[in-house]
Amino acid sequence: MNESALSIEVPARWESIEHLLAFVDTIEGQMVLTDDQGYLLRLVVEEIATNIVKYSYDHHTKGAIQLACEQDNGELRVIIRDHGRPFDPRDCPEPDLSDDIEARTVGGLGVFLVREMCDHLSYQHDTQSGWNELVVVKKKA
Amino acid sequence: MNTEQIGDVLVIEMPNRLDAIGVASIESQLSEAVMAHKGKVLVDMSNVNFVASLALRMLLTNLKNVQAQGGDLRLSGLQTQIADIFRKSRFDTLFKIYPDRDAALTGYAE
Repeated sequence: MNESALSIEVPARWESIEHLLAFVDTIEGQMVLTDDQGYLLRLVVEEIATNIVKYSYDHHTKGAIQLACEQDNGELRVIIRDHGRPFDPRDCPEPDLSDDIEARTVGGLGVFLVREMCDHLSYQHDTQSGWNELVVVKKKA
Repeated sequence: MNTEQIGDVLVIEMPNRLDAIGVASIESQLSEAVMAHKGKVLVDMSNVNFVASLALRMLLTNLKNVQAQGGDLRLSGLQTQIADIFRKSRFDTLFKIYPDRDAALTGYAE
């Protein structure tokens, strides 16, 4: 067995995205990730953490974002948690994929890319504690 | 962000990471360069090893703006993972994409 885990908690603010992206650099230095795993990890921070900053908390109740990475026999699990508004990315409608340049919109594209690039995605909202937990898995190959 | 004029084509070289920080650092500079040039623009992506939805939005906005002025914005040198993102998001149907800078310049000359 070869297990390792790294985690960080930051306030759900724009400035934190930079810290989370720097944390991704740290993880890439400490865990042996495949190119696809590294890409997905960065994508989760970029798309999901950004969504949490934008939509999860209202102005008065700025909460936290927790990011954890676990590696088990080469499989990467990215866990991202927040305490704000429940949002199941699996319910996010398919984005506009039309080839009409003028009409093309890019809403929902971030969540779509995360779904497309990972091997497995699960989401849970704990009604007791109020925590949302998204787990994204990427296998070694 | 490096820019270079080759013939009538404005060639813009993207930095390696087009994440939230990378996009914020070049977004206004890119749109100013594209709008000032108005004509043929080539965005050289060969250094880029990360894009997400923010970068796709930035490229699409610039494509729309320059096309409205009669120009075009084409891409070259997409690395494997970047090409994958373009395929999955169907952005490969929105842009003319060339394997490298030379092929793109030849394409513009035709």
